[in-house]
Amino acid sequence: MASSQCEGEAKAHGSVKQHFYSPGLLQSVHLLSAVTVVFGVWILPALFGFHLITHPLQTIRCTVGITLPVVLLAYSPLQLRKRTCSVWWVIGHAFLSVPIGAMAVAFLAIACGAPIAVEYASRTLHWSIFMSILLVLPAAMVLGTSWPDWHRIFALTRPKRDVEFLICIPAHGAAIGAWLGAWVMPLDWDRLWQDWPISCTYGAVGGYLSGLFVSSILTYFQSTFDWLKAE
Amino acid sequence: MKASFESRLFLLLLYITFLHAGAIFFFTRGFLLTRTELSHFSLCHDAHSAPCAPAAFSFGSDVQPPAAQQHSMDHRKLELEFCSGSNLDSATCTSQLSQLADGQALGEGKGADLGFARKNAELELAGADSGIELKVDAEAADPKLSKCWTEPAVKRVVIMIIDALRFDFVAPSTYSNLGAMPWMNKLKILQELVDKEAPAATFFKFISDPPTTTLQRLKGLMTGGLPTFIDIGHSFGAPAIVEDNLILQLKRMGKRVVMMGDDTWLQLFPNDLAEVYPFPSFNVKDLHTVDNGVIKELFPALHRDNWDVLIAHFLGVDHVGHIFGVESPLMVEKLEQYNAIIEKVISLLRDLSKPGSPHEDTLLIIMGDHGQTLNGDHGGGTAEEVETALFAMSMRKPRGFLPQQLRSSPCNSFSVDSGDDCISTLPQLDFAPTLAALLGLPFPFGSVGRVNPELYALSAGTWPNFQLIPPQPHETFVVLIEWLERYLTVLCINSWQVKRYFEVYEASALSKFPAEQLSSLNDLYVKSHLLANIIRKNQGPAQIGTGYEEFLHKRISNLTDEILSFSSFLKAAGLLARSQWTQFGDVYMAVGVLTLIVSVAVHAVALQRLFGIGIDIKEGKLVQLLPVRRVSMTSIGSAAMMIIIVIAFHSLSKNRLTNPFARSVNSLKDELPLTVFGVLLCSSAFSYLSTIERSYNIKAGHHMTFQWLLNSKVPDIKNCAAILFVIIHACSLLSNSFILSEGQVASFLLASLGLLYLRHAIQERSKLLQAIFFLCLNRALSSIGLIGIVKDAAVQVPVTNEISDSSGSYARWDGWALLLSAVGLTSLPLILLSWMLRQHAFRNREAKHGILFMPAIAVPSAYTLIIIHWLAMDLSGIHLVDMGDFMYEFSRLQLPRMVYATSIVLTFVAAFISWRSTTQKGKSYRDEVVKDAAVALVAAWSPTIILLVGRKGPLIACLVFFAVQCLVDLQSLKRLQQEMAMEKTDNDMYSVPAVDWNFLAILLFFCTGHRCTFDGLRYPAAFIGFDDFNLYRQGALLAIDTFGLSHVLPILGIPLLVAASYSVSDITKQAPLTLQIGKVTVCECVCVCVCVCVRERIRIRIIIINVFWCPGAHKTKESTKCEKHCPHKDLFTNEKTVKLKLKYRSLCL
Repeated sequence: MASSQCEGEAKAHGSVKQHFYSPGLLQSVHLLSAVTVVFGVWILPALFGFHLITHPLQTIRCTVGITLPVVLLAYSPLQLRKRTCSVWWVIGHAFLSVPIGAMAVAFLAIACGAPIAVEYASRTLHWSIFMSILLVLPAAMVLGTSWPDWHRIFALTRPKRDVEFLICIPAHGAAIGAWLGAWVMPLDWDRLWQDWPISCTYGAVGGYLSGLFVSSILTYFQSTFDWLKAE
Repeated sequence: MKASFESRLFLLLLYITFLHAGAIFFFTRGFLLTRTELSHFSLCHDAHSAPCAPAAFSFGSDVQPPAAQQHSMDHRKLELEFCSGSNLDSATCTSQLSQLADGQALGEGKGADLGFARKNAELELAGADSGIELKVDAEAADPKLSKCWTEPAVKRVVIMIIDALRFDFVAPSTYSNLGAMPWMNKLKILQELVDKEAPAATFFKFISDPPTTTLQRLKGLMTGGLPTFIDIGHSFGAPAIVEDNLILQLKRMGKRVVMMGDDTWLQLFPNDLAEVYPFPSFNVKDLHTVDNGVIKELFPALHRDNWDVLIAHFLGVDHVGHIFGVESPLMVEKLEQYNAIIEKVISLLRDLSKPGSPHEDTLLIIMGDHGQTLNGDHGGGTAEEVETALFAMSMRKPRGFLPQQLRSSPCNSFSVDSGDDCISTLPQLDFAPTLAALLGLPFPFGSVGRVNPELYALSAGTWPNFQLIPPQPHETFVVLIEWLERYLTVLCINSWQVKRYFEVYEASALSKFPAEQLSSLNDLYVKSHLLANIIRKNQGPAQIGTGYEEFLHKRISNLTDEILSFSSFLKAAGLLARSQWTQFGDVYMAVGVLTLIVSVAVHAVALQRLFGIGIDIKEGKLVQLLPVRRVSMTSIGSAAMMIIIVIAFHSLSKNRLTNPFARSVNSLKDELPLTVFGVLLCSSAFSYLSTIERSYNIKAGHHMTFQWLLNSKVPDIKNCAAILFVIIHACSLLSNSFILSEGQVASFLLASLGLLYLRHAIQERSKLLQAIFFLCLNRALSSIGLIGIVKDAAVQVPVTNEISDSSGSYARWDGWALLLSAVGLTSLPLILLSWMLRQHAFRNREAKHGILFMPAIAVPSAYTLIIIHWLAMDLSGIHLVDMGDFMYEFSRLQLPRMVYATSIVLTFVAAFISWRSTTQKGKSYRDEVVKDAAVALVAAWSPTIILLVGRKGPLIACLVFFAVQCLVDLQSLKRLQQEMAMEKTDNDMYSVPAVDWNFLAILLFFCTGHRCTFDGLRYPAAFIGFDDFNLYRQGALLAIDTFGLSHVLPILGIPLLVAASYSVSDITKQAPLTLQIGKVTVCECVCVCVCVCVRERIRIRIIIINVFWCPGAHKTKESTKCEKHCPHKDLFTNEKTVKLKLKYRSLCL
């Protein structure tokens, strides 16, 4: 029942009034995401005595453990179009997006040359779940199943307004960061951090954070303007 | 008009080819130090033809008394000479003689090794005349002394090689400018020995020559030559040394060599070592296996006496350096371990060195093969890498000291207080001849070193054996004279041998020595012989009224002079050899790189102009494309000017060479043809480039930029990315650290482009499958390169016996399973490919030209032949089925030849048919012809290439085929989009496919198992179908193997890419233009490809230069592997590109 309502809303886009959020809410989501990722990658594992370089698996597990609930929580008030279904339904659907996104990310990573040996399988899996949380989960929360919006934001990279910046720019940043992070791997320096997927994780986190920064600036200007106009 | 356009295009391509060829020629002339390996060997009886057979110096008679007698005879001879030469009264003379006789009589019976003294005394009593016969008897009686070139002075040699031994590991810190460091002076035992045991022990600074890598150094040490990265020779493959070398000479003399340690030795001398205990040198991270293995084998071996030369090669220091660097505490630990080992070895040798013990007459040599930088790298020519140490100790003390003139250092002691000069230097070149002289071996044929006097004097065996007791006043002189004469003989043979090598090399080698230097070398040789003769003549009567002592002094100084004059010849020869084989021609390299850069600019401009021509051909623009007259006039004019200037200047300033400018002009004159060629290149390029400003309509230019700006409001991400990727790739080539994984980098970039395609496909919501498929195929290709899915037995065809040995133990079932999987993996892709080809051919059967008719039949049958060939090889390898010899030989040799023949015939047929069918008009028809000709060419060459590439070939070819299909599909997607957006063919548009194509080519190169190193060449591929060696035939096969799948096929396939993406939509819409654009794009793609190639190659060159000039600054483990990188590949690539380009052009026309 609820599902049909949600889909109906999504399909009839344009006719539905778009939501505008206060700049405060958007900025706090930005801040919360940044703080969570930093906390999840560095601080929380350190409390357990892990470090990404020495214990990549455990660290990423920690990170996923903390980022997943926080992202779900932080993005739940945001939606691109007015939805009638409950937040729990949205969260449930978004939860599904994580494994699907992880599979896509893993496929792309392997296509780009991630090792396919068995001993790297769990690393690839962990890393792609992490990436999926950064890339796909926020979009799934905000966009739902509105495929035209997905296509516009991710394939064409044409975000128009505040919430779209929030899901588009950090995700692109993370992807580009991971791509850049892969560059140190073939160097013959024999350092531990050159191992898959450590450098890519660092790159992705760096890209994600800088994407958040950029989008927060853009959001600040635009959402202030829009909000004032809507008022 | 049209013909003019095409001929201009053709000329343009020719011109660019010319530029490339010139650039590559210059660069390789500077960089590619090549040395031809001669397969001559020194034989024992060769020495008779030397002008200085021992007799020449002693008696001047035709009957050559062997040096052995001369040795024991010298003392007596001196006196006789003195008596007869000087006009002293016989009484004085005899009194001196009797004195000596008394002395020797006293010494009689003192010990076993006084036998010679006794003989001497007897001889004296018997008189000088009968001496000769007696001595001949003596020699015949003593087989130990039977000599070859020189007289053996030591019986056994223990060589301990410590890989990457820095000089300061051994020398005290006062010798270093780094100050005291923990790793310095760690082999203290050596220093103690030198202090205590002199003159039986010495320490040298051992100077190696670049390339300072173990393999090259060992080769240099054993052959006495200067190995370069590419030694042209008959080995054509495995690093095994085919030149004359010490180990081979030892074997020929019936001596046994025991080796333990680094398995490089086994690669170098697969057959000549009597006993080998190899340990893998491959795993750099393993610090102890090799050393522990060597230690385990070394001490038992030292107790045995069934060997003559023992070689123990320790790798620990090298590995510690590579992994942790010199400054790590592990290095100190390792060195201390060696110190202890050496101590043990020496005490053991001492215990066993009593007379009658196995090590009575043993020489111990402890040396490094090269040094290392503080990072642990080596390969280059810096002092750190080149300087290593050699310690030598003879178990028996020599009897005398060398005169100061023959030492390379002014002082004799080696201790903490003494300065830097106190350590003699010993070039590594000298090692082989010195060791040969000590062991009494013929010197290796290609040795260009000098027998080092200090090392030679170290062995007691080179000093006279008799003893005078009580010591006589003149004894030291007499002993010294005898030694000097002996050394002079050795040196004379040495000079003769070096001279012979230079002569033979000059006659048979590909790259010659500069004539001028060679003739000055000859002068030196003649001069030293003249000097010897003069001295000999003046010796007799000149000493009237002088005493015996003075006579001896005079004699010593004469001998020293002669020795020095031979030494100077040998040193000059060494210098010449070094300049030829270890020093790069900087100027040539710079000119080559500059020309390349210029040619890239020419490319860019030419492309710009091609696009400027556009749809409607205007006369003015056409001329711009290649202003033939202008370019040729300018270049020829400037070349002529250059000739005139140089010649005029030369004739004017013949005597005034003080002016540096005049001198440089004169040096230009020496290489006049080259200079003119360079000037021709540069001036033509500049005149071509400078036409822009004159003839370009400024307005049009403005218009173009304006339009471009308008059209490219949103820059296409893929274009930018493609250009960015090329830049990134080029930069990654600049870094040493990336070179080892160049294949991975290419694959990563290709995958990134694939991601962009995927994004594009998602944007357009079409061709999604192709994009995903392309990503998968790319990944599959790169992983095939890394993991050998199919065991590649084809590489081992020439050594079939080995295969059968190794796989004979397979269980029968395993063998069949393997065979089945191999057959499946090879034949299925081939069947698929031939099916595709037939499909394509018969779909186009209605077309009137029959280009594809022949290939459709012949190529599948060639594939069948390949499968049969492999099957036969495998079957005989596994011993499952016993084929007749005839069948086996037939399938081994004839089938591959048939495949090659098929390719060649098909090429000619395709060329002929396409040439014939161009007479028929009709654009779309010609378009078809072009496309099908490309298919036919690719198909024609695929069997040969697949055969050469080996078992992986079919699978890779199949994957590539599909990848290319996807790529082509994706191209057309993009094109359609763009055409909708703007009806204009844009310059950038072609860069993406060109970049794709290029990366694909690079990826293919690596995934077919090639590496960018000279030892990465797959030599066995050159012998598929042939047993004997022919430089051109085997070279061609090797080139096809190396560049076939990666460069030849992609270049042949370029028109396919272009035609495929155009044919669908354009023929109907823009029929008249299709062919034109197709052609332009062909050239364009080729040009961009070459451009990209060239850009990258330039980078590679810079790396090469960097690595060689400042190797310390670079951090690579196997920098040399990379250094060997690309000129070779590049050479072939460009030539191939260019040739194929031309061929293709002719087909098109």
